[in-house]
Amino acid sequence: MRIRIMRTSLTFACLLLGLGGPGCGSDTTSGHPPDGSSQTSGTLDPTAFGQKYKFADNEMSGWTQDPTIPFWTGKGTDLESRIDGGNMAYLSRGCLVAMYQDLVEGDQAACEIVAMDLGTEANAVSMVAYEQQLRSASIAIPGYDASAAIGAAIQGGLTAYAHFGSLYFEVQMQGYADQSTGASVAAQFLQKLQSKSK
Amino acid sequence: MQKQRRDFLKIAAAGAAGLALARADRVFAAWPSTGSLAVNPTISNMRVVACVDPKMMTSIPALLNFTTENGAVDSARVQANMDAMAMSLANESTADAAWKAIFRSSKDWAATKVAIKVNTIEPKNMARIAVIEKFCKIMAGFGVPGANITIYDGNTTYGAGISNYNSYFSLTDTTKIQAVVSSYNNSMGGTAKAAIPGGTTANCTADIANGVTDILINIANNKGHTMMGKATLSMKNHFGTFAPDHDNNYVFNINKSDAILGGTPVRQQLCFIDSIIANKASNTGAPDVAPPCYLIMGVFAPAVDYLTVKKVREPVMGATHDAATITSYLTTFGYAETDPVWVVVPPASGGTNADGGTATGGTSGSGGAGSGGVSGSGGAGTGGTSASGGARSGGTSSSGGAGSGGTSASGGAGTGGANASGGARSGGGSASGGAGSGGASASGGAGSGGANATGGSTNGAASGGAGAGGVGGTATSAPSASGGSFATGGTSAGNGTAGSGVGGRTGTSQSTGPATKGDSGGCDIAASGRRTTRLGAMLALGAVVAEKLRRLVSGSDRSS
Repeated sequence: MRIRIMRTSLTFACLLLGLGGPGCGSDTTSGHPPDGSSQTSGTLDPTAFGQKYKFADNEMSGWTQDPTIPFWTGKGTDLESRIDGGNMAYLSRGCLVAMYQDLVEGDQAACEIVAMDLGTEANAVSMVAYEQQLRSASIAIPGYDASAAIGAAIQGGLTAYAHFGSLYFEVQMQGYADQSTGASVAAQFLQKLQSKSK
Repeated sequence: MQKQRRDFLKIAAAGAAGLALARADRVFAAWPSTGSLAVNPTISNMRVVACVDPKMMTSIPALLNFTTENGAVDSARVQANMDAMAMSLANESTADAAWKAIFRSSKDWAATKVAIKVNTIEPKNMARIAVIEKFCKIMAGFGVPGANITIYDGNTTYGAGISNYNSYFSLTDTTKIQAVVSSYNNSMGGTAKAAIPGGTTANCTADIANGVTDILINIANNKGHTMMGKATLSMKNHFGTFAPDHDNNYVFNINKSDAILGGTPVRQQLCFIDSIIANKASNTGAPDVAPPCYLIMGVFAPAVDYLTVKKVREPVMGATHDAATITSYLTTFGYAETDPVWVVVPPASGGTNADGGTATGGTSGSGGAGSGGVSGSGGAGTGGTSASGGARSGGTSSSGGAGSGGTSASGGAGTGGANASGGARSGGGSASGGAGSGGASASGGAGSGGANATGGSTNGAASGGAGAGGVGGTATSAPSASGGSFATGGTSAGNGTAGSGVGGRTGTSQSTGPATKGDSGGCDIAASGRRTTRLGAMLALGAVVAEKLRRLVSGSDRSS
């Protein structure tokens, strides 16, 4: 009886966790939860969403908030005020909330983090595919299948585009003459973001 | 070109469109519903000048931000290039005269108000300090006080990046650039409603809307976008003069408005694109291509934008666009895609221009000393497939300057081009004009070495200049042959005189008159009259003698 109850409870717990994103037994390298759920992250309040994914100073060793670029959160409909007409690509793919954070590693490197909840996994997949095509992204991100994360070169670095469930992330690394090093650091940021999503 | 010549102010058309008539102090005139408006009385709307110079950046920082970019720019070189561009744009021999032709005021310079519109949504790609400083120096040289020069981006949602300029400008610190940096529209009178074509109004920077600003300088950046055919350049830079509205027709309309094109003289007098650094795909984020190192300017935004797309964004940056929308940059204003004129000037310091630096074997090279490029224009390109202007060599097609080695060269002194026209060319496949040499086809001038040299159509003897191996002119009154591999005599009567061709065959007379072989060389016998020449007879005799001797030696000849 006890075992049956425990088994039932465990199953129920897994189901609850599955609704919130990557859950029990999820494969972190693919970014897909085991039940293929496509629900949102559950955090649609911009302020709360921003706080969930914001990096504190030195949370990633050596990285601190860029004092020249303000931290920004907002609803999808607020994106125009942050990125002007570039908002349409995200809005058309269901952007509900978004966060932009710029970090610096002294004066040597810079990182821009973009986090969005696009409502469904299909939207997030579509967003990565769009960026991949637009920017000819083909740089492998260590530890991730190309279907989950892919990088595109920029001047002095790269931008990694990734999705985990309905969540969509961009990690833009600058100051890396060696692109593979930039990709490795981007991967570290993605791993941290993925852990924040759980 | 036809449209270019027809640029003039049509008051009647403006009146028909319901626009204000001339007033005692100034005339407000939006873009007319028919016809066009000449922004500058001596500079065509369609003329766009560019300079590509990788040395404008002393280095390319691995980390590109406002500080590192401006730290890496060679200000003196940038500003010298701007002077060279101005002289070309205005067709003046001095920078001073050029800038005075470009910028005009109906007031004393001391009372003239100047506004410089910049784009500050992305600090990683904003107008470089060196560019803004140059315009401030020009205005100061005219006598415009620093307090009358304002740098602005009035967009209240993403114009905060303008604060990056603050530390470089001051009205009290003489070590800094004498001008005002406006926080949003605070130093530009706030905002006011401005009429735009179509019968509507939109919020606009007040000093622009109300005509307080006499001279508007539009400094845009080269970036991609989701609208306007996937590019944001001069026209869309007026988001921040006008409130934004992401509709292409709105962008066109604000650029036809009194606020932008009103005033006497016309308010917006120069559109400049700082493309030292550029974004290919989007309008925000770190630059995603190698710095193109271009500066581009003209008096009319649609032409500047169109040619920036066609001459820089697509061939140099590899960007793609919505072709129909890009075409509409011009057609919306009544121009055709054949109207704009693109002029590339070499760096003022005499350095070599090359698209993509001094790349060898590049697909597309324009300007400077491109080597092996498929297409080269301006500067001293080498080995390009197509070279135009400047001094080029080895291009397939070169025009202007001293092109050499190209397949096709036109203008200047082309060398080696396959097709050289104008100027002095050599070695080209086809040379025309100038002193082309070596071209496959040379026409006019003193073509030399071309496979086909055409000396133009003239009466009497036609000569393809000092052409070697060329075809020779098409003389109208004389069958003449001159040099060349194939010298074609004229179609009319008269004796043709061969030029001083070397190695060419004699031409074939067309009608009457003998054809005369060239002075030296030549392989064939003149066909006219089928007469045996002395050489032919000697050769025939020699052959007979040789055969006779052979038989004697072999003992087979019993005739003696």
